[in-house]
Amino acid sequence: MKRHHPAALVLVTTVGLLLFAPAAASARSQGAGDWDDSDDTRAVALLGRAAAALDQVSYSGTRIISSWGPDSSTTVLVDVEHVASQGTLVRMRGGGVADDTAAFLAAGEGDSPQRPDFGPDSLQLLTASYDVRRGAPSRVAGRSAQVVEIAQGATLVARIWVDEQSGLPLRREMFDAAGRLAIESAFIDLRITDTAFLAHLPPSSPRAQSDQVDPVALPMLRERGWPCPPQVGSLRMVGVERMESSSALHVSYSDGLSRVSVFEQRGALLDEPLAGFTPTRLGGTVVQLRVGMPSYAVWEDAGTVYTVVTDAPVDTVAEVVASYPHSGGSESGFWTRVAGGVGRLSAWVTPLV
Amino acid sequence: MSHLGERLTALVDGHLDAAERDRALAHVRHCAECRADVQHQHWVRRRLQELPDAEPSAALLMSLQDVGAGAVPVQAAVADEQATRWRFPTRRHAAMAVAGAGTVAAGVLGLAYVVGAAPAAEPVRPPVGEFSAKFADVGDPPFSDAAVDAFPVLHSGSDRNPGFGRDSGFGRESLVSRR
Repeated sequence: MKRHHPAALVLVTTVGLLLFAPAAASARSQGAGDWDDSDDTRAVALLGRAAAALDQVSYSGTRIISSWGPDSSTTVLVDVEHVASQGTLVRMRGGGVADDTAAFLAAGEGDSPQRPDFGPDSLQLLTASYDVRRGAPSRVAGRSAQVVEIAQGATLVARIWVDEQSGLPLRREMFDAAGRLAIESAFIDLRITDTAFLAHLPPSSPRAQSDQVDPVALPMLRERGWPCPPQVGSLRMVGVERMESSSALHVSYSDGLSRVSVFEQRGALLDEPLAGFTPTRLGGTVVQLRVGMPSYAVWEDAGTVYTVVTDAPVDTVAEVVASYPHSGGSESGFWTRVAGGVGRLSAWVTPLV
Repeated sequence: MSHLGERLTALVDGHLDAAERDRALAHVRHCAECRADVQHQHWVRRRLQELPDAEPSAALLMSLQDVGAGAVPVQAAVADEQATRWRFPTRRHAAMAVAGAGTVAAGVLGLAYVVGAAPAAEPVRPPVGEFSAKFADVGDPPFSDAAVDAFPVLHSGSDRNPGFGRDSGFGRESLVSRR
Protein backbone atom coordinates (compact mmCIF):
# COMPACT_ATOMS: atom_id res chain seq x y z
CA MET A 1 0.00 0.00 0.00
CA LYS A 2 1.49 3.30 -1.03
CA ARG A 3 2.00 6.11 1.49
CA HIS A 4 0.67 9.62 0.99
CA HIS A 5 2.64 12.70 1.90
CA PRO A 6 0.88 14.68 4.70
CA ALA A 7 0.88 17.87 2.66
CA ALA A 8 -0.66 16.06 -0.26
CA LEU A 9 -3.23 14.57 2.05
CA VAL A 10 -4.27 17.97 3.36
CA LEU A 11 -4.43 19.30 -0.17
CA VAL A 12 -6.60 16.43 -1.36
CA THR A 13 -8.90 16.76 1.63
CA THR A 14 -9.31 20.47 1.16
CA VAL A 15 -9.90 20.16 -2.56
CA GLY A 16 -12.37 17.37 -1.96
CA LEU A 17 -14.37 19.42 0.50
CA LEU A 18 -14.33 22.44 -1.75
CA LEU A 19 -15.55 20.33 -4.64
CA PHE A 20 -18.12 18.21 -2.85
CA ALA A 21 -19.85 20.53 -0.44
CA PRO A 22 -21.08 23.21 -2.88
CA ALA A 23 -21.99 20.57 -5.42
CA ALA A 24 -23.95 18.67 -2.79
CA ALA A 25 -25.80 21.76 -1.64
CA SER A 26 -26.59 22.72 -5.19
CA ALA A 27 -27.70 19.24 -6.18
CA ARG A 28 -29.83 18.95 -3.11
CA SER A 29 -31.69 22.14 -3.89
CA GLN A 30 -32.43 20.76 -7.34
CA GLY A 31 -33.54 17.35 -6.16
CA ALA A 32 -35.74 18.20 -3.21
CA GLY A 33 -38.85 18.73 -5.25
CA ASP A 34 -42.15 16.92 -5.13
CA TRP A 35 -41.93 13.18 -4.77
CA ASP A 36 -44.13 10.51 -6.25
CA ASP A 37 -45.82 8.21 -3.80
CA SER A 38 -44.55 5.18 -5.66
CA ASP A 39 -40.87 4.34 -5.92
CA ASP A 40 -39.12 4.64 -9.26
CA THR A 41 -38.65 1.00 -10.25
CA ARG A 42 -35.51 1.76 -12.21
CA ALA A 43 -34.07 3.58 -9.21
CA VAL A 44 -34.82 0.58 -7.04
CA ALA A 45 -33.17 -1.66 -9.63
CA LEU A 46 -30.08 0.57 -9.51
CA LEU A 47 -29.89 0.16 -5.76
CA GLY A 48 -30.24 -3.60 -6.12
CA ARG A 49 -27.39 -3.60 -8.65
CA ALA A 50 -25.24 -1.52 -6.30
CA ALA A 51 -25.85 -3.89 -3.41
CA ALA A 52 -24.89 -6.86 -5.53
CA ALA A 53 -21.80 -5.13 -6.95
CA LEU A 54 -20.39 -4.57 -3.45
CA ASP A 55 -20.16 -8.32 -3.10
CA GLN A 56 -19.29 -9.27 -6.66
CA VAL A 57 -16.84 -6.64 -7.93
CA SER A 58 -13.21 -6.38 -6.87
CA TYR A 59 -11.71 -2.93 -6.78
CA SER A 60 -9.14 -0.66 -5.18
CA GLY A 61 -9.18 3.06 -4.67
CA THR A 62 -9.24 5.97 -2.27
CA ARG A 63 -12.27 7.41 -0.57
CA ILE A 64 -12.75 10.69 1.18
CA ILE A 65 -15.22 10.48 4.04
CA SER A 66 -16.54 13.47 5.95
CA SER A 67 -19.11 13.99 8.67
CA TRP A 68 -20.51 17.18 10.10
CA GLY A 69 -22.00 17.55 13.58
CA PRO A 70 -23.44 20.51 15.47
CA ASP A 71 -20.04 21.70 16.65
CA SER A 72 -17.45 19.66 14.81
CA SER A 73 -16.57 17.90 11.61
CA THR A 74 -14.31 15.03 10.66
CA THR A 75 -12.64 14.15 7.38
CA VAL A 76 -10.48 11.17 6.61
CA LEU A 77 -8.97 9.53 3.58
CA VAL A 78 -9.26 5.80 3.24
CA ASP A 79 -7.41 3.49 0.91
CA VAL A 80 -9.69 0.60 0.09
CA GLU A 81 -8.77 -2.71 -1.45
CA HIS A 82 -11.67 -5.06 -1.96
CA VAL A 83 -11.64 -8.64 -3.18
CA ALA A 84 -15.13 -9.87 -3.76
CA SER A 85 -14.67 -13.37 -2.43
CA GLN A 86 -12.40 -12.44 0.45
CA GLY A 87 -13.21 -9.08 1.99
CA THR A 88 -12.13 -5.47 2.27
CA LEU A 89 -8.85 -4.07 3.52
CA VAL A 90 -9.08 -0.44 4.60
CA ARG A 91 -6.21 1.79 5.63
CA MET A 92 -7.10 5.11 7.10
CA ARG A 93 -5.51 8.49 7.70
CA GLY A 94 -6.86 11.59 9.38
CA GLY A 95 -9.82 12.08 11.69
CA GLY A 96 -7.77 11.49 14.81
CA VAL A 97 -6.82 8.02 13.65
CA ALA A 98 -3.21 7.01 13.63
CA ASP A 99 -1.72 6.96 10.13
CA ASP A 100 -1.83 3.63 8.36
CA THR A 101 -4.23 2.19 10.89
CA ALA A 102 -5.74 -0.76 9.09
CA ALA A 103 -8.68 -3.08 9.34
CA PHE A 104 -9.86 -6.03 7.36
CA LEU A 105 -13.54 -6.74 6.95
CA ALA A 106 -13.97 -10.34 5.89
CA ALA A 107 -16.74 -11.10 3.44
CA GLY A 108 -19.51 -13.06 5.08
CA GLU A 109 -21.43 -15.92 3.63
CA GLY A 110 -24.73 -14.07 3.87
CA ASP A 111 -25.36 -10.67 2.43
CA SER A 112 -28.13 -9.56 4.72
CA PRO A 113 -27.23 -8.45 8.22
CA GLN A 114 -30.81 -8.83 9.37
CA ARG A 115 -32.01 -11.76 11.34
CA PRO A 116 -34.71 -13.46 9.30
CA ASP A 117 -36.99 -13.44 12.31
CA PHE A 118 -37.01 -9.68 12.51
CA GLY A 119 -38.20 -8.63 9.08
CA PRO A 120 -37.39 -7.74 5.51
CA ASP A 121 -33.93 -7.22 4.08
CA SER A 122 -32.22 -3.88 3.73
CA LEU A 123 -33.52 -2.95 0.29
CA GLN A 124 -37.06 -3.78 1.33
CA LEU A 125 -36.57 -1.74 4.49
CA LEU A 126 -35.26 1.17 2.47
CA THR A 127 -38.10 1.21 -0.05
CA ALA A 128 -40.63 0.73 2.75
CA SER A 129 -39.20 3.65 4.72
CA TYR A 130 -38.41 6.09 1.93
CA ASP A 131 -39.36 7.23 -1.54
CA VAL A 132 -36.76 6.33 -4.16
CA ARG A 133 -36.28 7.99 -7.54
CA ARG A 134 -33.59 8.69 -10.07
CA GLY A 135 -31.75 11.97 -10.23
CA ALA A 136 -29.77 13.60 -12.99
CA PRO A 137 -26.76 11.52 -14.17
CA SER A 138 -23.39 12.80 -13.00
CA ARG A 139 -19.71 11.89 -12.81
CA VAL A 140 -17.62 10.78 -9.83
CA ALA A 141 -13.87 10.20 -9.94
CA GLY A 142 -13.96 10.49 -13.71
CA ARG A 143 -16.62 7.79 -14.06
CA SER A 144 -20.18 8.12 -15.34
CA ALA A 145 -22.77 7.53 -12.66
CA GLN A 146 -26.53 7.20 -12.28
CA VAL A 147 -27.93 9.05 -9.29
CA VAL A 148 -30.57 7.69 -6.93
CA GLU A 149 -32.28 10.13 -4.59
CA ILE A 150 -33.88 8.87 -1.39
CA ALA A 151 -36.45 11.05 0.33
CA GLN A 152 -39.08 11.09 3.01
CA GLY A 153 -41.96 13.14 1.73
CA ALA A 154 -40.48 16.34 0.36
CA THR A 155 -37.32 16.00 2.42
CA LEU A 156 -34.22 14.64 0.74
CA VAL A 157 -32.56 12.09 3.01
CA ALA A 158 -29.73 10.68 0.94
CA ARG A 159 -28.28 10.50 -2.53
CA ILE A 160 -26.26 7.65 -4.02
CA TRP A 161 -24.15 7.70 -7.18
CA VAL A 162 -24.00 4.29 -8.90
CA ASP A 163 -21.18 3.51 -11.34
CA GLU A 164 -22.64 2.84 -14.78
CA GLN A 165 -19.88 0.38 -15.65
CA SER A 166 -19.52 -1.71 -12.50
CA GLY A 167 -22.63 -0.90 -10.47
CA LEU A 168 -20.51 0.08 -7.46
CA PRO A 169 -21.80 2.94 -5.32
CA LEU A 170 -19.28 5.70 -5.96
CA ARG A 171 -20.56 8.38 -3.67
CA ARG A 172 -23.08 8.74 -0.91
CA GLU A 173 -24.50 11.82 0.77
CA MET A 174 -26.75 11.85 3.81
CA PHE A 175 -28.63 14.89 5.03
CA ASP A 176 -29.94 15.81 8.45
CA ALA A 177 -33.51 16.85 9.19
CA ALA A 178 -32.67 20.49 8.44
CA GLY A 179 -31.41 19.53 4.99
CA ARG A 180 -27.74 20.05 5.80
CA LEU A 181 -25.16 17.65 4.47
CA ALA A 182 -24.28 15.41 7.43
CA ILE A 183 -22.20 12.55 6.03
CA GLU A 184 -20.44 12.17 2.73
CA SER A 185 -18.40 9.30 1.38
CA ALA A 186 -16.98 9.36 -2.16
CA PHE A 187 -14.29 7.77 -4.24
CA ILE A 188 -11.71 10.20 -5.51
CA ASP A 189 -9.92 7.37 -7.24
CA LEU A 190 -11.26 3.95 -8.28
CA ARG A 191 -9.85 1.02 -10.23
CA ILE A 192 -11.82 -2.10 -11.03
CA THR A 193 -9.48 -5.06 -10.51
CA ASP A 194 -9.40 -8.80 -10.96
CA THR A 195 -7.47 -9.47 -7.77
CA ALA A 196 -8.25 -12.90 -6.43
CA PHE A 197 -6.46 -12.82 -3.11
CA LEU A 198 -5.34 -10.26 -0.54
CA ALA A 199 -2.06 -10.93 1.19
CA HIS A 200 -0.51 -9.41 4.32
CA LEU A 201 -3.76 -8.99 6.18
CA PRO A 202 -3.81 -7.45 9.67
CA PRO A 203 -3.53 -10.01 12.46
CA SER A 204 -6.59 -11.61 13.85
CA SER A 205 -8.20 -10.10 16.93
CA PRO A 206 -10.96 -11.37 19.21
CA ARG A 207 -14.55 -10.87 18.21
CA ALA A 208 -17.20 -9.81 20.67
CA GLN A 209 -19.16 -12.97 21.38
CA SER A 210 -22.89 -12.77 21.78
CA ASP A 211 -26.05 -14.86 21.96
CA GLN A 212 -29.06 -14.13 19.80
CA VAL A 213 -32.30 -13.28 21.57
CA ASP A 214 -35.45 -14.84 20.17
CA PRO A 215 -38.06 -12.22 19.26
CA VAL A 216 -40.67 -14.05 21.32
CA ALA A 217 -38.62 -13.19 24.42
CA LEU A 218 -38.83 -9.44 23.82
CA PRO A 219 -42.01 -8.81 25.85
CA MET A 220 -40.42 -10.56 28.81
CA LEU A 221 -37.27 -8.49 28.45
CA ARG A 222 -39.31 -5.30 28.40
CA GLU A 223 -41.17 -6.32 31.53
CA ARG A 224 -37.83 -6.80 33.25
CA GLY A 225 -36.64 -3.32 32.48
CA TRP A 226 -34.78 -3.91 29.23
CA PRO A 227 -36.48 -1.51 26.85
CA CYS A 228 -36.36 -2.68 23.25
CA PRO A 229 -38.57 -0.32 21.23
CA PRO A 230 -39.53 -2.04 17.97
CA GLN A 231 -38.88 1.17 16.08
CA VAL A 232 -36.84 4.34 16.63
CA GLY A 233 -37.69 7.10 14.21
CA SER A 234 -37.75 5.51 10.78
CA LEU A 235 -35.51 2.61 11.79
CA ARG A 236 -36.91 -0.80 12.63
CA MET A 237 -35.50 -3.36 15.01
CA VAL A 238 -33.56 -5.97 13.07
CA GLY A 239 -31.84 -7.93 15.81
CA VAL A 240 -31.32 -8.39 19.55
CA GLU A 241 -28.44 -10.19 21.19
CA ARG A 242 -26.79 -10.52 24.58
CA MET A 243 -23.10 -9.65 24.73
CA GLU A 244 -21.13 -12.25 26.64
CA SER A 245 -18.31 -10.15 28.00
CA SER A 246 -20.20 -7.07 29.17
CA SER A 247 -23.64 -8.69 29.66
CA ALA A 248 -25.02 -5.80 27.65
CA LEU A 249 -28.15 -6.17 25.58
CA HIS A 250 -27.47 -5.16 21.99
CA VAL A 251 -30.48 -3.97 19.99
CA SER A 252 -29.93 -3.30 16.28
CA TYR A 253 -32.03 -1.03 14.05
CA SER A 254 -31.96 -0.29 10.35
CA ASP A 255 -33.96 1.51 7.71
CA GLY A 256 -31.92 0.10 4.86
CA LEU A 257 -29.89 3.29 4.71
CA SER A 258 -28.47 3.65 8.22
CA ARG A 259 -27.83 1.44 11.19
CA VAL A 260 -28.24 2.03 14.90
CA SER A 261 -26.91 -0.16 17.67
CA VAL A 262 -28.17 0.43 21.22
CA PHE A 263 -26.30 -1.27 24.06
CA GLU A 264 -28.04 -1.52 27.43
CA GLN A 265 -26.04 -2.23 30.58
CA ARG A 266 -27.09 -2.41 34.22
CA GLY A 267 -25.14 0.02 36.36
CA ALA A 268 -24.40 3.65 37.03
CA LEU A 269 -22.48 5.73 34.54
CA LEU A 270 -19.14 6.87 35.88
CA ASP A 271 -19.09 10.52 36.86
CA GLU A 272 -15.90 11.23 35.01
CA PRO A 273 -16.49 12.28 31.40
CA LEU A 274 -15.65 9.92 28.57
CA ALA A 275 -12.65 11.04 26.60
CA GLY A 276 -13.65 12.57 23.30
CA PHE A 277 -17.28 12.98 24.36
CA THR A 278 -19.12 16.22 25.04
CA PRO A 279 -22.15 16.65 27.33
CA THR A 280 -24.93 17.67 24.96
CA ARG A 281 -28.67 18.11 25.37
CA LEU A 282 -30.22 15.69 22.92
CA GLY A 283 -33.56 13.91 22.66
CA GLY A 284 -34.86 15.45 25.88
CA THR A 285 -31.92 14.76 28.16
CA VAL A 286 -28.21 15.35 28.53
CA VAL A 287 -26.03 12.72 26.90
CA GLN A 288 -22.32 12.23 26.37
CA LEU A 289 -22.05 12.78 22.61
CA ARG A 290 -19.34 12.14 20.09
CA VAL A 291 -20.15 12.99 16.50
CA GLY A 292 -18.17 11.17 13.84
CA MET A 293 -18.18 8.01 11.82
CA PRO A 294 -19.92 6.47 13.53
CA SER A 295 -21.48 8.76 16.14
CA TYR A 296 -21.90 7.81 19.80
CA ALA A 297 -24.21 8.85 22.61
CA VAL A 298 -24.06 7.59 26.19
CA TRP A 299 -26.46 8.30 29.04
CA GLU A 300 -27.89 6.66 32.16
CA ASP A 301 -31.44 6.30 33.30
CA ALA A 302 -32.73 4.45 36.37
CA GLY A 303 -29.73 2.22 36.80
CA THR A 304 -29.25 1.37 33.14
CA VAL A 305 -26.50 2.80 30.95
CA TYR A 306 -27.35 3.23 27.28
CA THR A 307 -24.76 3.50 24.51
CA VAL A 308 -25.84 4.35 20.98
CA VAL A 309 -23.58 3.70 18.00
CA THR A 310 -24.80 4.77 14.58
CA ASP A 311 -23.69 5.80 11.13
CA ALA A 312 -26.74 8.04 10.81
CA PRO A 313 -26.84 11.82 11.31
CA VAL A 314 -27.16 13.29 14.79
CA ASP A 315 -30.91 13.78 14.29
CA THR A 316 -31.28 10.04 14.33
CA VAL A 317 -29.28 9.83 17.54
CA ALA A 318 -31.75 12.28 19.09
CA GLU A 319 -34.65 10.11 17.96
CA VAL A 320 -33.05 7.07 19.54
CA VAL A 321 -32.47 8.86 22.83
CA ALA A 322 -36.06 10.10 22.83
CA SER A 323 -37.35 6.57 22.17
CA TYR A 324 -35.43 5.09 25.08
CA PRO A 325 -35.89 5.89 28.78
CA HIS A 326 -34.39 9.20 29.73
CA SER A 327 -35.04 11.26 32.80
CA GLY A 328 -34.88 14.65 31.16
CA GLY A 329 -32.20 15.75 33.59
CA SER A 330 -29.69 14.51 36.07
CA GLU A 331 -32.35 13.54 38.63
CA SER A 332 -34.93 10.87 37.93
CA GLY A 333 -38.52 12.06 38.06
CA PHE A 334 -41.08 10.62 40.44
CA TRP A 335 -42.95 8.63 37.83
CA THR A 336 -39.75 7.46 36.20
CA ARG A 337 -38.62 6.13 39.52
CA VAL A 338 -42.01 4.53 40.16
CA ALA A 339 -41.96 2.97 36.70
CA GLY A 340 -38.52 1.59 37.37
CA GLY A 341 -39.74 0.20 40.68
CA VAL A 342 -42.73 -1.46 39.05
CA GLY A 343 -40.42 -3.04 36.51
CA ARG A 344 -38.12 -4.23 39.24
CA LEU A 345 -41.01 -5.65 41.28
CA SER A 346 -42.25 -7.45 38.18
CA ALA A 347 -38.81 -8.88 37.67
CA TRP A 348 -38.76 -10.12 41.24
CA VAL A 349 -42.17 -11.70 40.92
CA THR A 350 -41.36 -13.34 37.60
CA PRO A 351 -38.63 -15.94 37.78
CA LEU A 352 -35.57 -15.08 35.77
CA VAL A 353 -34.80 -16.96 32.64
CA MET B 1 -109.08 -41.59 93.77
CA SER B 2 -106.46 -39.41 92.39
CA HIS B 3 -106.08 -35.77 93.44
CA LEU B 4 -108.23 -33.09 91.82
CA GLY B 5 -105.45 -31.62 89.72
CA GLU B 6 -106.79 -29.21 87.09
CA ARG B 7 -110.38 -29.73 88.34
CA LEU B 8 -109.43 -27.98 91.57
CA THR B 9 -109.34 -24.50 89.95
CA ALA B 10 -112.64 -25.24 88.18
CA LEU B 11 -114.14 -26.22 91.52
CA VAL B 12 -113.05 -22.96 93.14
CA ASP B 13 -114.30 -20.92 90.21
CA GLY B 14 -117.67 -22.78 90.18
CA HIS B 15 -117.23 -24.11 86.67
CA LEU B 16 -117.99 -27.80 87.42
CA ASP B 17 -121.36 -29.27 86.76
CA ALA B 18 -123.34 -30.67 89.66
CA ALA B 19 -122.20 -34.25 89.42
CA GLU B 20 -118.57 -33.27 89.02
CA ARG B 21 -118.87 -30.81 91.89
CA ASP B 22 -120.29 -33.52 94.23
CA ARG B 23 -117.57 -35.99 93.41
CA ALA B 24 -114.87 -33.26 93.85
CA LEU B 25 -116.24 -32.19 97.20
CA ALA B 26 -116.43 -35.80 98.36
CA HIS B 27 -112.71 -36.11 97.57
CA VAL B 28 -111.80 -32.88 99.32
CA ARG B 29 -113.44 -34.10 102.47
CA HIS B 30 -111.23 -37.12 102.58
CA CYS B 31 -108.04 -35.68 101.01
CA ALA B 32 -106.19 -33.25 103.24
CA GLU B 33 -103.78 -32.23 100.47
CA CYS B 34 -106.49 -31.24 98.00
CA ARG B 35 -108.43 -29.57 100.79
CA ALA B 36 -105.36 -27.41 101.59
CA ASP B 37 -105.01 -26.44 97.92
CA VAL B 38 -108.64 -25.46 97.69
CA GLN B 39 -108.28 -23.32 100.76
CA HIS B 40 -105.18 -21.64 99.36
CA GLN B 41 -106.84 -20.77 96.09
CA HIS B 42 -109.81 -19.28 97.85
CA TRP B 43 -107.47 -17.13 99.94
CA VAL B 44 -105.62 -15.80 96.78
CA ARG B 45 -108.89 -15.03 95.07
CA ARG B 46 -110.14 -13.04 98.04
CA ARG B 47 -106.91 -11.05 98.22
CA LEU B 48 -107.14 -10.10 94.54
CA GLN B 49 -110.76 -9.04 94.98
CA GLU B 50 -109.73 -6.85 97.86
CA LEU B 51 -107.15 -4.84 95.73
CA PRO B 52 -108.28 -1.33 94.55
CA ASP B 53 -108.77 -0.63 90.76
CA ALA B 54 -105.48 0.64 89.20
CA GLU B 55 -105.60 3.84 87.02
CA PRO B 56 -102.93 4.36 84.29
CA SER B 57 -100.74 7.43 84.72
CA ALA B 58 -101.04 10.41 82.36
CA ALA B 59 -97.47 9.93 81.13
CA LEU B 60 -98.14 6.33 80.25
CA LEU B 61 -101.30 7.28 78.38
CA MET B 62 -99.42 9.98 76.39
CA SER B 63 -96.64 7.59 75.51
CA LEU B 64 -99.14 5.08 74.26
CA GLN B 65 -100.87 7.75 72.16
CA ASP B 66 -97.53 8.75 70.57
CA VAL B 67 -96.85 5.17 69.66
CA GLY B 68 -100.27 4.94 68.05
CA ALA B 69 -99.84 8.17 66.07
CA GLY B 70 -96.44 7.04 64.69
CA ALA B 71 -97.56 3.63 63.75
CA VAL B 72 -97.42 2.75 60.02
CA PRO B 73 -98.67 -0.22 58.09
CA VAL B 74 -96.43 -3.23 58.33
CA GLN B 75 -95.61 -3.43 54.59
CA ALA B 76 -94.69 0.24 54.48
CA ALA B 77 -92.51 -0.20 57.50
CA VAL B 78 -90.71 -3.17 55.94
CA ALA B 79 -90.18 -1.35 52.64
CA ASP B 80 -88.86 1.66 54.46
CA GLU B 81 -86.47 -0.47 56.41
CA GLN B 82 -85.21 -2.18 53.29
CA ALA B 83 -84.70 1.16 51.59
CA THR B 84 -82.82 2.43 54.57
CA ARG B 85 -80.65 -0.63 54.60
CA TRP B 86 -79.95 -0.19 50.83
CA ARG B 87 -78.87 3.41 51.02
CA PHE B 88 -76.92 3.62 54.16
CA PRO B 89 -74.69 0.55 53.82
CA THR B 90 -73.90 1.42 50.13
CA ARG B 91 -72.50 4.82 50.95
CA ARG B 92 -70.52 3.42 53.74
CA HIS B 93 -69.20 0.52 51.73
CA ALA B 94 -68.32 2.82 48.83
CA ALA B 95 -66.40 5.08 51.14
CA MET B 96 -64.64 2.10 52.63
CA ALA B 97 -63.86 0.73 49.17
CA VAL B 98 -62.45 4.06 48.00
CA ALA B 99 -60.41 4.40 51.13
CA GLY B 100 -59.15 0.84 50.81
CA ALA B 101 -58.26 1.21 47.15
CA GLY B 102 -56.51 4.47 47.88
CA THR B 103 -54.53 2.88 50.65
CA VAL B 104 -53.52 -0.04 48.47
CA ALA B 105 -52.59 2.26 45.57
CA ALA B 106 -50.58 4.49 47.85
CA GLY B 107 -48.87 1.44 49.26
CA VAL B 108 -48.00 0.10 45.81
CA LEU B 109 -46.78 3.53 44.67
CA GLY B 110 -44.73 3.92 47.78
CA LEU B 111 -43.24 0.47 47.41
CA ALA B 112 -42.49 1.06 43.73
CA TYR B 113 -40.93 4.42 44.57
CA VAL B 114 -38.72 2.89 47.21
CA VAL B 115 -37.79 -0.07 45.03
CA GLY B 116 -37.32 2.19 42.02
CA ALA B 117 -34.64 4.21 43.74
CA ALA B 118 -31.41 4.35 41.84
CA PRO B 119 -29.79 1.05 42.71
CA ALA B 120 -26.45 0.96 44.33
CA ALA B 121 -25.16 -0.36 41.06
CA GLU B 122 -21.54 -0.68 40.26
CA PRO B 123 -20.13 2.17 38.22
CA VAL B 124 -20.03 1.35 34.54
CA ARG B 125 -17.75 2.62 31.84
CA PRO B 126 -19.24 1.51 28.53
CA PRO B 127 -16.72 -0.60 26.60
CA VAL B 128 -17.05 1.63 23.59
CA GLY B 129 -14.38 -0.23 21.68
CA GLU B 130 -16.17 -3.53 22.07
CA PHE B 131 -19.47 -1.93 21.16
CA SER B 132 -17.91 -0.33 18.10
CA ALA B 133 -16.54 -3.64 16.94
CA LYS B 134 -19.94 -5.24 17.41
CA PHE B 135 -21.52 -2.41 15.46
CA ALA B 136 -19.13 -3.09 12.59
CA ASP B 137 -19.58 -6.82 12.95
CA VAL B 138 -23.34 -6.84 12.66
CA GLY B 139 -23.21 -5.95 9.00
CA ASP B 140 -24.58 -3.00 7.18
CA PRO B 141 -27.17 -1.84 4.74
CA PRO B 142 -25.87 -2.31 1.21
CA PHE B 143 -25.36 1.38 0.66
CA SER B 144 -23.12 2.25 3.54
CA ASP B 145 -19.53 1.36 2.87
CA ALA B 146 -16.86 -0.81 4.31
CA ALA B 147 -14.65 2.16 5.03
CA VAL B 148 -17.19 3.64 7.40
CA ASP B 149 -17.67 0.24 9.00
CA ALA B 150 -14.00 0.02 9.66
CA PHE B 151 -13.90 3.26 11.58
CA PRO B 152 -15.12 1.93 14.92
CA VAL B 153 -12.46 -0.74 14.93
CA LEU B 154 -9.83 1.75 13.99
CA HIS B 155 -11.02 4.18 16.63
CA SER B 156 -10.85 1.44 19.22
CA GLY B 157 -7.20 0.95 18.51
CA SER B 158 -6.24 4.58 18.24
CA ASP B 159 -4.13 6.19 20.90
CA ARG B 160 -5.54 9.52 19.81
CA ASN B 161 -8.99 8.43 20.94
CA PRO B 162 -8.43 7.25 24.51
CA GLY B 163 -12.14 6.98 25.10
CA PHE B 164 -12.18 4.18 22.61
CA GLY B 165 -8.94 2.45 23.23
CA ARG B 166 -9.00 2.17 27.01
CA ASP B 167 -11.53 -0.59 27.32
CA SER B 168 -11.67 -2.08 23.93
CA GLY B 169 -9.06 -4.76 24.12
CA PHE B 170 -8.55 -4.45 20.41
CA GLY B 171 -5.19 -3.77 18.87
CA ARG B 172 -4.16 -1.14 16.45
CA GLU B 173 -4.77 -3.48 13.58
CA SER B 174 -7.82 -5.62 13.73
CA LEU B 175 -9.41 -8.37 11.77
CA VAL B 176 -13.15 -8.11 11.85
CA SER B 177 -15.31 -10.65 10.16
CA ARG B 178 -18.53 -9.53 8.65
CA ARG B 179 -21.46 -11.85 8.97
